[in-house]
Amino acid sequence: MAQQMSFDEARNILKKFRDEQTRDSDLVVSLWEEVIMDKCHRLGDEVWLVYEQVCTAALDCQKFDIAEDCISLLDQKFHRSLRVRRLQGMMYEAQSEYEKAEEEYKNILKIDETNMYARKRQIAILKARQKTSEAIQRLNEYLKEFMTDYEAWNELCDLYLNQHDYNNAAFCLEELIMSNPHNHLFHQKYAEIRYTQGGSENMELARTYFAQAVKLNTNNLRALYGLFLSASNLGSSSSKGAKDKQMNLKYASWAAEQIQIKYKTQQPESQLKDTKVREFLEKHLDSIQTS
Amino acid sequence: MADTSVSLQAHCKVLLHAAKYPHSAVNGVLLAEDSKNKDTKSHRCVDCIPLFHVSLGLSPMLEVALLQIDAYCKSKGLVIAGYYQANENYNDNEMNHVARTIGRKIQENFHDACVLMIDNRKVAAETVSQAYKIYTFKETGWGTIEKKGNTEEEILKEECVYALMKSGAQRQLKDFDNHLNDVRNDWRNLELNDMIARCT
Repeated sequence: MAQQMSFDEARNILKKFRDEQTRDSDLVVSLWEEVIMDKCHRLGDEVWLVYEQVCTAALDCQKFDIAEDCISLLDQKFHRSLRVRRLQGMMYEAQSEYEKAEEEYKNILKIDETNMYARKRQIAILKARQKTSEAIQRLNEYLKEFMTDYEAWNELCDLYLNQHDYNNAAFCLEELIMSNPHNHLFHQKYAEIRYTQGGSENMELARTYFAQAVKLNTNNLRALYGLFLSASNLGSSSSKGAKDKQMNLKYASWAAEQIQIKYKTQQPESQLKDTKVREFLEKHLDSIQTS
Repeated sequence: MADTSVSLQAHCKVLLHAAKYPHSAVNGVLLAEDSKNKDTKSHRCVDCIPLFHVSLGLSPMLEVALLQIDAYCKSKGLVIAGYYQANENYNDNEMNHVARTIGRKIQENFHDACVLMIDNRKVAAETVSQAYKIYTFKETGWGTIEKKGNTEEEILKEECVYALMKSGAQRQLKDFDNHLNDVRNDWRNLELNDMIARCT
């Protein structure tokens, strides 16, 4: 897929992936093999960053020969650097040699006990070995020291979700919302967790947070759908009387309207007609009204 | 027990979905023709709709997807007849809680529903044979069924998936997560369907 690409194009794509932290390992490896590799002297000092990038991508694709080449070239240039050792550790991980990997990370931490990458790799090993509760425990310890690492909070949330521990998963998102109150995605995910938990109290929380996510970003379709579902759910099961039901019905209709506008303005007519979005929204609203 | 088989189109899209997101879990549903005739001894999954590659364990977007797909199916004379999943962990191809729960829900509506669990180790152009196990629900719980399928068909499927993966067709596949990011992304994957049809 990369054959016809020029050297500069390929180089720019790799740079873009590095800057945006895009994980498209397959493409990275093929750009390397088909375009960059033979002309890598033209990269100048950028070559070291590219080696590192290609190495992790090759590990993702189980192409150990490429990864090994990258590591040995990097090691010649930056002998025994911690960053190279981490790659070596990841290589062991990809080959399921977890004990050797663990050893590598322990050595890194002996030299630099605040090395957060090594700490996180150790947790990744536990996850790979499906020791989820141990991974959770270690990640909690990690987060006591690196409280602002939002990716780690997100990971912890997903680990709790794997264990169906929704309250703790929700707690992780509460932390994230507190430190990033304007990020609509955190509000949306919090709402999704509460919705999954179920019960009228959680459903009300879900509706509130979906609504907040919509307010922060009106283009968030997941949040609009979430608002639609949670409001219609509350509307049809409401035990709080007719007024409450009317309110929820109003919210649901509003959300349905917004969703329809999105589809009408952005989706081609033929797709809209065939995928029956309008029909599904209308039917769902009708069923609450008559309940 | 009814016979279960998977069409070429469904087979290819299931595996391309897993190939597109090698580092995360993916899931989706299988569709069969809705036969009112109750005596049919076999059912064939003719198509599949790829659903998610992030947060498989949360229910609201799954509900949205299933409601929408159900409305689509009714208009096409199809029915949701199965479910597929690939786990996040490379070496893990067991049914987990999510697969069992969704599988059960589908089974309540479609008695002979099946669940396909993808073996991540087989999702690559060169190694793609018997890349998933098929489970059906019996009195005691989910159990695998032996894949009979005539071998000629199996070989054709493997060749087709090989060609598609080699050409990078997985990049064109759109799942419901892609759709929620941008509604222009069509989860029916009509273009990909054409490519698969041309493969034979």
